[in-house]
Order: sequence, then C-alpha cells, then structure tokens
Amino acid sequence: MDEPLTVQRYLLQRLLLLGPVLFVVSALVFSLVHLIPGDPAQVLLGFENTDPEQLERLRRDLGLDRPVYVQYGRWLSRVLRGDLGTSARTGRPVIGLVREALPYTLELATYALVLALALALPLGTLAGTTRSRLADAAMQLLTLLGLSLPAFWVGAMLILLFSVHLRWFPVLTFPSFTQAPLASLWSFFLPALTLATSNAAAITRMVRASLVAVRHEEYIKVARAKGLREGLVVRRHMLKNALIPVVTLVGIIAGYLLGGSIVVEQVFAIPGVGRMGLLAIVQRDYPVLQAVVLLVTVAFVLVNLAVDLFYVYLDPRIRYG
Amino acid sequence: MRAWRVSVVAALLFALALGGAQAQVPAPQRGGTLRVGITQEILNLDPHVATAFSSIQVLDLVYESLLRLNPRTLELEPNLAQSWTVSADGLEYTFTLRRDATFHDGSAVDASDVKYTIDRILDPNTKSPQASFLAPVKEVTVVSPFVVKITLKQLTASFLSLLAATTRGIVPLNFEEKVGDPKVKTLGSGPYQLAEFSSSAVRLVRYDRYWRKDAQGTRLPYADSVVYRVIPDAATLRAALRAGELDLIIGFGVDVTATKALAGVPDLRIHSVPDLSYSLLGIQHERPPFSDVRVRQALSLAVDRKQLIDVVYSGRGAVAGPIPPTLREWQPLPASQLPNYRPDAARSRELLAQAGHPRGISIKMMPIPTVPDAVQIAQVLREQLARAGVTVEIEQVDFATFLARWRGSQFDTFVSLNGGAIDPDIHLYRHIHSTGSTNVFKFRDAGVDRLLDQARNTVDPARRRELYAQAQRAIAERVPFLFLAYADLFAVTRAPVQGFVLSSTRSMAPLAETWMSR
Amino acid sequence: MADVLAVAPARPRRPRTLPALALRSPKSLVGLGVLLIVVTLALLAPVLAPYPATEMHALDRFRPPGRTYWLGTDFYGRDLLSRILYGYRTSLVVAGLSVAFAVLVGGSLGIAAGYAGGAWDAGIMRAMDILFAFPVLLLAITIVVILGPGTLTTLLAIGLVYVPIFARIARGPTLVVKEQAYVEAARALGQRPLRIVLRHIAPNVSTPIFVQATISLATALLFEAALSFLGLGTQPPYPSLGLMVNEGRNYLELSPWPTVFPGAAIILAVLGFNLVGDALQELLDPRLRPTWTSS
Repeated sequence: MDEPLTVQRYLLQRLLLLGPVLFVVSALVFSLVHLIPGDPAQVLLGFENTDPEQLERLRRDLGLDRPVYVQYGRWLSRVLRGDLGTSARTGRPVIGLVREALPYTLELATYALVLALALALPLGTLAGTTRSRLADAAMQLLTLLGLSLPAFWVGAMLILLFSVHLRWFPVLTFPSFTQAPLASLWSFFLPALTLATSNAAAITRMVRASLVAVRHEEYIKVARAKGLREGLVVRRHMLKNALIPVVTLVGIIAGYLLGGSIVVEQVFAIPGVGRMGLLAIVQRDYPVLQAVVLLVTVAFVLVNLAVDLFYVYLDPRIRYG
Repeated sequence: MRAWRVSVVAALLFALALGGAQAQVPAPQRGGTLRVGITQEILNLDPHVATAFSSIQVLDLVYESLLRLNPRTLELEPNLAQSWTVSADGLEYTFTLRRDATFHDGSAVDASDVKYTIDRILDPNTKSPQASFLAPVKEVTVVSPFVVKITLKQLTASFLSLLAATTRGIVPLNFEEKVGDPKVKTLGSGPYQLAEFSSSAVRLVRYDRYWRKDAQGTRLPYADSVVYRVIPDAATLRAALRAGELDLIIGFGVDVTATKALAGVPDLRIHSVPDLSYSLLGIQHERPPFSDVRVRQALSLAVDRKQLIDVVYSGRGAVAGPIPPTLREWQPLPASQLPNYRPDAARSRELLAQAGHPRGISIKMMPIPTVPDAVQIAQVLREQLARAGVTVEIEQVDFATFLARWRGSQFDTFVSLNGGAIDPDIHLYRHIHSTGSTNVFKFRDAGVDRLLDQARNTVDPARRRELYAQAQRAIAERVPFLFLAYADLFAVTRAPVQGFVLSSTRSMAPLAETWMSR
Repeated sequence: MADVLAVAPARPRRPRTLPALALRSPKSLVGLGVLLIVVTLALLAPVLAPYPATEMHALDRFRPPGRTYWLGTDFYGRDLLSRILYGYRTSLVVAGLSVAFAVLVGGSLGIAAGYAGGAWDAGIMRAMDILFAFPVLLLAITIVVILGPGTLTTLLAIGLVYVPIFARIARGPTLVVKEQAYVEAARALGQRPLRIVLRHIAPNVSTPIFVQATISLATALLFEAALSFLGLGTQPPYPSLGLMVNEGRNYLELSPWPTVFPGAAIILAVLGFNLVGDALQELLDPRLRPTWTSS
C-alpha cells in the first residue's frame, strides 16, 4: 500500500470513482435492456394492428433504428448536458416523472429508517447490556424472526388487519409531507413499518453485537473502575464506539431504501421510484429505466460516502489507507 | 341473458323497496366529485394514438365521436352528428352536425373539424393505430359549415359503428398547434375537460357549455369533477373503496371473485353486465402441429368451457362462439349448435391420433400479463388439455415481450382478451380474415375469407345476418383460435353514486349522467 | 477455540469442527431441527402430499382448513398443503443452487483477486463494487426479463446478485494467509498456484464462506419468494411459496388461508437458516458482521 491517505484525498478519490461507476453501470443497463425482446415502439402501438411500416416509422422517431452504441452515445451526451430525455411510453420529460415519484420514495425511505432506528437503538442497547440471558435470548429470537419475514407478506397482512378490518389507516391516499405533515405520516405508517421491520431487526442485532464486543474493552473497564454509573458508561463510552459498524449498516440500508422498494411500493400502490423502475423494465421505457438506475446508483454511492465521513466524526483515529 | 335478468329483477326489487316511501326516482343532484379507481396506468391522452385501455377510460369523457352507442341498448345514436343520409350505392355518407356543440376553447364543432379529424387519423405521420379501421375512407369533403360528406372506396356495412368510438373522437382543426402536446393535453367537446394529469391520477372538471341535457332539460354533466386514481393492485383497490376513498371501481381486477369479497360490505352496489370482449386461446397456424385443422379441433374439443367459466369466473360468463351473445340482433349461435364445442376428450385424442400424434402433443401457452384472468385460464386449460393428451407448458412473459411475440407471431398459443364490437364485421374481420390487421394467428381460409368479405360488403341486414350465420359455423369448424368465454363485466359503486350505467362496451361516457346523492 | 479458527490461521484447518460446534449451541439446535423438518417435508413431498400439487378441484374452491384438505384449498381448489410441500422443494432448490453458484463464482474471484494481487485484485474488486452498487432487485428483474422467467433464470439472477458478497469474504482471509510463512514456503518450493490455493488458502476461506452461505440461504429464500411474488420466478401452475402468496393476496377477504399458510411456510424455512447461521457466526466470531440484503 502507498502512503496513508488523508481523509480529503480519500473522499476525493471516491468521488472521482463515481463517474466511471456510473458510466459502466449505465452502459451495462443500456446494453442489457436492448437484449430483451420488444421495444417502446411496439408498446406504444399496442394491440391495434401489426402494420410493420407504422412500427418502423415510430422506431425512427424514437431513434430506435440506430445501433445501440449510437443510441447510448446520444443518451449520454444529453445526460451530460443535464437532460434525462423523454419517456418513450408517456411522451413526458423523464425529469418530471422522477420529480413526481421521488418524494414518495424519499419520505418512505426516511420514515422507514427513522422507525427502524427508533425500534432498534433502544432494543439493541437493551439486548447488548442486559445481564438476563432470557431477555437476550428472547431478543435474539425476535430479531431473527424479524429478519425472516417477507415484506410482501407483512404488507398484505398489515393492510388486511389495519386498513380493511380496523380501518385505522387510509389505503391509498399518500399526501405529501410538505403539504400535510401529520396526514402524510399517518398514511405512510403501514408501508414504512413494513419496510422497517427487517431493517430494525438487522440494526438491533448489530447494536447488540457491537455493544457485546466493546463490553470487555480496557477503557470500559477503566470507566467502570472510576465508579461511573452504568447508564453513563453505556451512553458515553460504549454506544459511541459501538456505533461505527451500526453506521455502516444503516448506510447500506439507506442506500437501498433510496432506490425505492419495489415490493413495498407494489403492495401499497405507492407510485415511487421502485415501481417506476419496474414498470420501465416491463414496458421497455429505456430513458426512464436509465434515469432510475442512475438515481439509485448515485444514492447508493453517496450514502456510502456520507457513512465514511461519519466515521471520522465518530472516531478521529480513523485514517484511510 | 341470465345476468341481465338478474340485474333487472334486482332493479325492480330496489324500485319496489323504494316505492313504499317515495314513488319517484330521486332527482339528480349537481356537484361533488366522482372518484374512480382503475388498475392500469393512464398513458397517452391523444385519442387517435392512445392504445391503453385506461387512457380511453379517461378520454370517454373528454372527446366525442359523430355517433355514439347507447350504453344500455348498444344501439347507434346521434351524437355530434344529429342526422345522416346514405347514398343509394352505399358509398356516400352525409352527416349534419348539431350546432350547439363546442370544444373546450369555446369554438363550435363544425364540418372542417370532422374532415381534419379523419384526415389526421389517416395521415401516416400521426401513426394512429386507428388508421386501419378507417382504411375504407376515400375522402372527406366539407359540404357546408355543418354538413360533411364521407366517401368510401368500397361498401362497408359497419361504417357507422366504426365512427362511434372515442378513439375516432372529433378534434378541432389544427388540433396539434392548438393543444400543444396532445399526449398530455386535451381539447375535446366532451362533458369534462382535463385539469390535472399524472400517470397515477387524472382530474377532470365539468365543461360548463357541454351541449347534452337530461330528460328534465338540465345541462349535463352532474358532478363537478371526476378523478381517476390508478391503483395497480386489485386488493388495494377494493380496500380503498371499502375505506370510502373511492366511489367507483372498474376495470381489470374488478371481477366476480373480487366483488364476492365485497358482497357483505354495506353501502356498496355491485353492477354487472355481459361483456362484448372475450377471452381466447390464440393459435399460431404456421407452426407444425397447428397447421392441421384436426389438431385445432382437438384442442377445441378438449376444452370444457363451462368448467373454465365455473372456476375462473365463478360461473358468471357465457360459453359462446364468434358473435357475442349480447348482440341478439346478429343471432349468435348458441354453443350447442356450434361444431367442436361439446367437450369430448376421447374424440380429441382420436383426432390427434389421426393427425399423426397418437401419443399426444406438447405445446407452449403464453398468458398476457396485464389481464389477471389470463394466467388463471391458462392454468385451468393446462389441466383440461392434459386429459386429451396435450401437455401444456405455461410461459409467463412480461408485457413488452408478450407484445413483441404477439406482433411477430412468435408463439404456439397464447391466452388473451380481445375487445369486442357491436358490429360483427369489426368484431371478427381484423382477427380472422387472412388480410386482417391483427391476424397474428396466420389463419388463412379462403372459405371464411369469402364469407367475411361478402358480409362486409352487404348492406341489407337480413342478408348480412344469413352470411354471419354461415360464418359462425365455418369459423367454429376451422378453428382460427378458441373463443373461450364472454365473462360478465363488473363495477362496484358506493351507495351515494346514482345513475351509473355499466356498459358492455366498457365505455365511461355514462359518468356524465352519474351523480352523487348527499 | 472460536477465535483460533477465524483469526489466526496458523495451520490450515479443515472446518470439520464446525458441525461439532454447532451441536453445542441451543440456537443452532433449534435451527437445525426446523431445517430438518423443512428439508424432510420437501424431500418426501411426493409421499406426504395428499394430492398432486397442480390438481384442481373445481367444486372445492377456497375451502377452509378441514379434514379433506388439511390446510384448505386455493382459487382453483388445489390443496394448499400439497402445494406448500412441493413449494418447499422449488424454494430450497433455487435458494441452494443460487447460493452454491455465488459461492463458486464469488469465492473463486475473491481468492483469485487476493492471491494474484495488483492489477488483478483492483480489477476484480472494482467490478464487484459495481455489481454491488447495482440496484439488486432491478438487476435480478432485468436478468429474468432477458432470459425469460423460469427456475434456472431465477437461480442465475439471485446467484449473480450474491457473487460480490462472497468475493469480498473470500478475498480478506486470502490476503492474510498469502503472507503466512508456510504459504510463502510452498511458493518458494515451486508449488503451482492452484495447488497452493486448494491446499492452503481454500481451507481458511471456507469457514467464513460457509457461515455466510448459511445466512445467504435465508435471504435467497426471501429473494426467490419476492421474485415469484412479482411473477418473475417459478412459473404457474408449479407451486412456489412467493407465487402462492401473490395468487392468494387478491382474495384475502374471501379466504386468508392461501396467503397465510405459504407466508408462514416461508418464514419457518428462513428462520431455520437464520438460526443456524447466527449461531455459527457467533461461535466463530462475535464481531463478524452479518451481511444484509434488501428484499
């Protein structure tokens, strides 16, 4: 390995890597979708006729008659100028569609993450510091169960119970948070909970494991020996150190959540980024699919970068190299 | 029709129940918002280009055609055209337009708009999938501001019913310049105009100068606005109706099983009507086993359509042949009179053996992914065909793949839904005639072609009926594909919704006369 | 003991102690018990299933659990119990083979990267990073759409998604072991790389991989269920647990059983793998991070 890098240089390097990653990912997706039978022109014509001339004319209009690399080049040059193109299927600008879908996904992701942390931090701390073997075992079983739940099934069950039978939650109105914060939080609760379940379980386990790992470190023993109260020891010393792996996990989760959860958006009929991506695939809406993939990849990489920054804050000893 | 009778009886009972307290039907109330839940995304709003069923459901309220189909009786009625005459040779149609119809920008609907509309559909640059329907048109001439003449190249008996469709809706002269982007903006003459449009929701508001009035002389439409919400998941759609977040649900996924799930819920009303559309098993005739008519007959004999309807539609559907049982004026032959319709697995095996397949055949079956019944039908067919020695492999493909393979005739068999029409010519010709625009089956039969051509060019209704009686038998005999079922169509409304008519044509135009009681 | 295995690979050790260890943890015993039941049910499906999995009973649609149909019937009047038993087969086979694929491909790539070092290392691991940054489900769906749905496709799609995880896990220990004196000695003696990898490196890599594989089996089962749920996995009429939930969900109000039972069956199997995986992980190294994948 070379000389140790400074944090700044490391981050710069990571940021510079984002470009090539996005290039490869987008080129890969672009060529992959062109391998699939069917194209947007056929989707647009539907089942009304099979006139090959009409199809060819539409293909020319959409630029689909050119070789794939030419199409990719055109797309890339447009994107570099900040233009995501036009959705082949709806004829609307992709950026507008993304702007419609993104708020849903953002709110859902943030909400799910907050719920997961609200559940996981106290539970994990409890499990990691308890002296009761029974409590620990129960917590472990519970979290393993949480990890074993299929989201689509949990979602269906929650709708059946809380929306259909008890009628506590609305089914399909998802008002925006900026316009009606309370109503929005209320209606996003079930999908957010569905999405939070397995993540809460994973984070709880990570908190517990990290706490167990630092429990026997020297500085904790010293702190205890100094006569600090147990609660203070946990809060001031153990949690802060235990947080590092937890932050990594939360970062990964956030990265995934920002990409939109296809399954949860599908079950709760939320018109977010995940569903947009799924529809774009089955309807061959290439520009939309490309935009979704870009978005998801950028979110994933940036969140990971933020996690790295957070490390430095938590533990200034960390150097990258 | 059993279903008809059931709903008539139900209506009578309802009237009787009301009769004690109040002898008259309550007067329609104006105002309010009708919230309609549908399962498919609303895409293009250009009436001549849109193909998505959900788009048409919206456009039914925004655009109007020269003629319209009465949603209950399915008869042709004047609409933008208040009267018409046909020349003696049957080639010239002269329409007189009503003078009080206006587009949403206030300009009158006149003859030049009609000419522009038809020319636009036929213009290759529009790339309208509707162009093939209007292929018989030779030219359109403006006779006077409110009189327009359409000249045909050849006799086309179904021409008037071709004009009664939202997808042939009249748009103003220079539509594209006026509206900007017709894919996302509208300019029609219908009862509602577009207020907001996203792919998951559309809001329409009343057009105050709409011409049509109800029997009491009140201007239509009643409701202030109509909101369409797209909920792709049928279970969620129902839950939303139960929760009072929607007033009406309709479309794919609102089927008999779904309505059963809602049967016990108070304050909901279930509407049903026999569908004009039919589910079918498409067959590729150029692929070896199917080029032999005996193999196709064997498939037809192996299928127990009654059982299929019992399982997939809980019995709410009709076994029928090439002509929808609803269209009684065209004398649809009952299943008992159609060849190859009585299930007979033994005979089916025999035919397969004669065709050189004594040990049966293996076929692939591709259900269309956007119609939920299709995969259910495929699974039932797989079980039924197995009894006749036909092994079925179901291939579920995504929507665009299905389209590509449908278009390219790259399939053994597929299960899908074909839209129906009130004229047998429109209903049959494009799928079955060897030059039909959607004959992806590659079915070629000179006899059937001759009958369909003759019927198309015969104007006398009695003679046409005779020809279609022959055609029905010939089609059932030659098996271009299997007509499987004409299932009942369903919609569910909340109690405050009044005056809604569920039409066999699936048209949403009756929403103009639907109102909310408070 | 546990520490020795994972942290200080002083001598190549075969992971034969792993099962012995596993039997000492109550958690893994419970997990193994659950898995034993699930696998037995799947293996004996043809014997145990009261009906063929695709047989329809048109007159017995949506039957509740009872004497004729122990767990009730679905939309088509098919026996739920029989379908769940066969569904287990599909799910286990797909999950198992996709993880095996990921272990083989990912493991080899990771070892190759670690052992070869330099540009090879950088190239392989960057490729893995890119694969890892891909939206998982979108990637799997794209693969399924390209190759056409079916068991083999699902298997490949899931396997490919898991490849980078195993590459990363295999690379770490390889880097450590490579520097050990006995490996350097072997190299000095002119042993061929393949032999060194098989004799010295693979045994050290196999333990963490085995643990990760157990956990991945749990997530792969969920993944397969999610793909089938979206209609992109196992093809009807063949039973798959995710597909069953999807088919049943539309009729939840009419009969919850076609949705509830397959869902519970998925949870049981996944829980089994999670219990065992978790126990193994703890035994080997309490700090070993669980890898998490979205569903």
